[in-house]
Amino acid sequence: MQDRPPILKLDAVSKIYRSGEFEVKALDNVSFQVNGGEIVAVMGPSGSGKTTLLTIAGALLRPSVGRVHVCGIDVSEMSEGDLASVRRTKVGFIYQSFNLLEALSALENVVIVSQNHGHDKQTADERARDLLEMFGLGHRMHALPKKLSDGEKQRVAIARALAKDPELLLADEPTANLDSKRGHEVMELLRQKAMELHKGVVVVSHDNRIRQFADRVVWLEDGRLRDDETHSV
Amino acid sequence: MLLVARKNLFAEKTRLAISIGGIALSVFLIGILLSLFRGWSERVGSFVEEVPADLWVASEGTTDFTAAASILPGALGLRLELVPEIDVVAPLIVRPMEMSHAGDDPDNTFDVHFVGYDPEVGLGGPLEVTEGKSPPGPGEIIVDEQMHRRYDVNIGDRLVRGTKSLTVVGYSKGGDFVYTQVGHVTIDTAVDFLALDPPSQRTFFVMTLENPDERESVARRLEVAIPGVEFITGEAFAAETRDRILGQILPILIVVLIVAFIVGLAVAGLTIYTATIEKSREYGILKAEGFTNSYLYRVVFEQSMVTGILGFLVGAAMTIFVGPFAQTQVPQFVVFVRWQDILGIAGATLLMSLIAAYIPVRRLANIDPVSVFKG
Repeated sequence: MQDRPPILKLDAVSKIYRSGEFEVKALDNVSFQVNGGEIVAVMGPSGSGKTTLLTIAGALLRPSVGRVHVCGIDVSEMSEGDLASVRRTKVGFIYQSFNLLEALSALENVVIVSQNHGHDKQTADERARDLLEMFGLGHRMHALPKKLSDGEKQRVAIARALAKDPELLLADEPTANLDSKRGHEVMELLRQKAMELHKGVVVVSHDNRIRQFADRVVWLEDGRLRDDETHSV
Repeated sequence: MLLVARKNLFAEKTRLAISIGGIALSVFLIGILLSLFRGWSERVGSFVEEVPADLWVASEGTTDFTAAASILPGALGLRLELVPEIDVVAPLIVRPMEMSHAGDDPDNTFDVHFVGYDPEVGLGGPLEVTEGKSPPGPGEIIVDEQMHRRYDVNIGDRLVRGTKSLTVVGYSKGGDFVYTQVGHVTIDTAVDFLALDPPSQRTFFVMTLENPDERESVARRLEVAIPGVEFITGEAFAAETRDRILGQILPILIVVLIVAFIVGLAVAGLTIYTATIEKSREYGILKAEGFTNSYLYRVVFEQSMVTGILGFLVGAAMTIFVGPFAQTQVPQFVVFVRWQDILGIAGATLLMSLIAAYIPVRRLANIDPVSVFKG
């Protein structure tokens, strides 16, 4: 695993929020990397900087200091348009509250992301159907999100994240709104697909049960990495 | 149309209906007011325009046909007949007045634009007699068919004013000024009925020329030769008559049209804006997923445009169907729906939709995709 080029690399990254005279250091000199087929769990208490780390890794925010490389591309000083392009092609997000578009069916939620990636309508449709079938949602393709269970919603969200075939998957508390059984199923699915499709995965959570699915656990506290430990799955 | 735009738009059917309804009402209001204006404009000028005269002769200061504050000596007609460029000269006695049905309450009156003409020449007489006798004999009148419909004036009825009366002997077309209609009698009947003193006085003369193309130059020459008398082309006199009647209405109409546009814009703008605000989080998700701002702008513009187009179609259909129907119920409601006006309203609706999308689009630009990670 160490021989493969890193899909995500954070090098001495700090993020400082300024409000008038006040400064808050959300991340402080954080360095770590994620390789293909690897799941890294970022854990820590509330306010430790987990979400900031995730948004910087996902090319949503630029670091105040340090360099961020996504799939070998330095995104540290990119324009908004270029960052959007990186997110469109390289990064898939899985959210705590699923964040499906309410007016679109499960299939359409996946299709539009695939189309935005550049797939034509037919290819996007086929790819979305394949993904939903893969996640056991073949019979729920035309259901609106409000008709889906939370577990189904999260599976649609994972299918959507994979629709653009990203090399990096970033999951923010993916099990927080699921019961333990559904949470386990979702994490198992995520781990399995990451391995199969050779994706780099970062899971941000304060749920200790995530540890068992991670190759490594990164502990974040007050914006700093405190420890680095590895679990074998 | 983009999938997100279409789905978001049609997912909220009540909001869509309100939005379309607001724009449709605005379009309908604009359409019906314009059609009403066109209808009136066509109707009030048509009699003067349709009289096959090259020149109208009036005393100096006369502005139009309906005010008719023109008094000319009858001898002027004889003088004009001697002008070689003039082919036919016909006198007219025109007087707006109120009349009533014989036997009815004398206060139950209606307006008649009384026109005395020379039946031997015919110029200035009824444009088209649709029923009854023509020309009228002594003590007889041919009324416009709109007067017949509106005030139940029928052939055989006697119309009175003071101690004098006229018998209705026919209906004519093309003499409706909306607020009044023409009634044609012979010159002799007019002199007697109005008790003109001297009886030779006339209101207008209408003339045809040997060469109608020279009417402007002939008019200028005659104005120099006969001081105190105006020679006006048929088109100019029709335009003056229109201006006299509609010139007062036009500024009010413009204000109402602007108000209708603002109402449509406000309804469209508010619904599109609230829809955008409610979907802020979803737009944030799309931003996080790498959708560009221009894609999101397109979503809002398409929603606004489709709402505008649907509102326009409903409003235009209402204008086309409701206007003529209303005309059958209310005779004064004279509408003329022009496709050019409908096209103009379509343009105004598109403008409405564009402006309505502007503020939501600005709002979209400020949505932070990071916000979707909160809760």
